[in-house]
Amino acid sequence: MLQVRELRSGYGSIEIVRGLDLDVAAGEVVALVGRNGAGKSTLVNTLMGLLPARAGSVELAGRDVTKAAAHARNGLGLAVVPQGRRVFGSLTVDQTLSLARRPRGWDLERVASVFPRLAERRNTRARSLSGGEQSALAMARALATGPTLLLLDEPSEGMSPHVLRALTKVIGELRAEGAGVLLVEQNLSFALTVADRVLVMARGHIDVSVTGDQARADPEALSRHLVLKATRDQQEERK
Amino acid sequence: MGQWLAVTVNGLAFGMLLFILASGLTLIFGLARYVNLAHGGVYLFTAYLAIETYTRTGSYWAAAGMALGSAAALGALLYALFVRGRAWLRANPLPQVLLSFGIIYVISDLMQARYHGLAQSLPLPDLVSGSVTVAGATVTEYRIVLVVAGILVAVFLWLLLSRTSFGSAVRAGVDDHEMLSAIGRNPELLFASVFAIGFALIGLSGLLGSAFIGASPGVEYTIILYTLPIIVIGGMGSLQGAFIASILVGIGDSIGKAYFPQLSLFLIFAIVVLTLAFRPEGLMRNA
Ligand SMILES: Nc1ncnc2c1ncn2[C@@H]1O[C@H](COP(=O)(O)OP(=O)(O)OP(=O)(O)O)[C@@H](O)[C@H]1O
Ligand SMILES: [Mg+2]
Repeated sequence: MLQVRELRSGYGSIEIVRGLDLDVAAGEVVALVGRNGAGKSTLVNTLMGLLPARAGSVELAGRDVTKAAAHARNGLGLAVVPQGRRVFGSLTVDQTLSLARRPRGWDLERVASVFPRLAERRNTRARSLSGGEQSALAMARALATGPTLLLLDEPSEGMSPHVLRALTKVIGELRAEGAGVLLVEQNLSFALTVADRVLVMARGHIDVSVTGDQARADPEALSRHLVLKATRDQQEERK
Repeated sequence: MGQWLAVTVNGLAFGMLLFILASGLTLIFGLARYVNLAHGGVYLFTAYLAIETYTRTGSYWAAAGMALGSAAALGALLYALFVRGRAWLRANPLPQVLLSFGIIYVISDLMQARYHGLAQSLPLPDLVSGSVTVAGATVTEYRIVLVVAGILVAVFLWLLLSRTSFGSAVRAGVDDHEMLSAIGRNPELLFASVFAIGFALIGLSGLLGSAFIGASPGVEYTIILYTLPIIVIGGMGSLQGAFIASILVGIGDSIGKAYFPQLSLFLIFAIVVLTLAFRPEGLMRNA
């Protein structure tokens, strides 16, 4: 579904993603964790085509999209829920969803089945929604495009437990339909409830890869690993 | 009473012509964040073009088609040549202004070469060439046409932006063009259309203005002189602001010309100074 090889990207003279390999299969939920500033969002934005790749390749459903613009990637089934939600403040819920909607995507009815609150607020401008509602709208906007591979960048940030359950349900439905999900998440316990595989990103590439079952069997090991990594990275940076 | 009314309607007519010009600039600035001041030149070009087309064909429709069509094409061309993918130009208003003046110089010279600096104007259609007297005020019918046209343009733009999916896409692009692209819309195409529509509005003002203030060398700068205050008073990027400011400037100019002719421009810039002093972001904040 998604195949990333030797990917490099960054800002100005700073390279953040440094030769990263990554695969997400159809119907697979891959969680990506890593400390603050590890480059997870940089990776997500590069995959979506919002930041140019400097080297390496990105393949989506067997097509090379390394140089494709974001709108072309979306046409091939890639969608993103960005960090910080980035909803269209001046558009209502309805306007946002009809703008994003493709025939194969979620309609308002289906969105309402998981986020009933959004349907109630369909005529409200996004900038007047609460933080949790904006998170739901950012999700719904991506789903309306009918993704076969969904990139989620810390979607649980600021979500109530209630909306978080809805998010879990959505991820389950996507998996059942054979869509792939790349879930960037700080909330390790939430990531572990849905992930088929857990990756740790450090120093610009994937450092550790474990199956979801391994991670669930010994979640302590994973968090120890994250903490350990963080201190080791900091020591290295200081040198 | 009668004279006041006539002065007001005359001002309103000029104000609406200015609004159509300013709406083109406002659309482009508000939605694409690009300062286009080439409108004076585009006015001159489309006014001459409308007159020449009418002279050759005798058809007002042909004149309208040429003025609006060529302006829209010019807008799209300008976008493709100078704006698209040029991050540096997009981020810096000063080179945008300089580029605008470069375009005006080129157009002025081309018009000078073709029309030899002759002042021309479009003959009025018979239907609206008379005048009407209401409450002791005599107003030419064409001024009423201008007022109606300005109101129609305002309504059209309001509907376009608030009621159509094109409008939603444009507003989404203003909010976050990366996310617009991430949901499958090509923002470049959208911005090119915004340039085309904005320029078409300037072409419309060239068409309407060619029968009112006409086409002559120097009018390109007069246009700039009158529209800049509107942009400042209205608040850059606000269509409502531009509408209100156009009425103020139009009527202010008309009152000035009627009662203290030496001070008419002074009056307009007095409004600008007052606005800058008390509402530095304009009457309407970017709406
Ligand atoms: N637009 C930018 N320009 C320059 N540097 C940036 C930019 N965005 C992020 N960075 C830097 O790139 C590095 C990686 O940032 P990134 O946002 O990808 O990390 P992250 O793993 O998503 O962090 P977090 O968990 O806090 O979201 C950081 O050092 C950050 O300061
Ligand atoms: Mg991040």
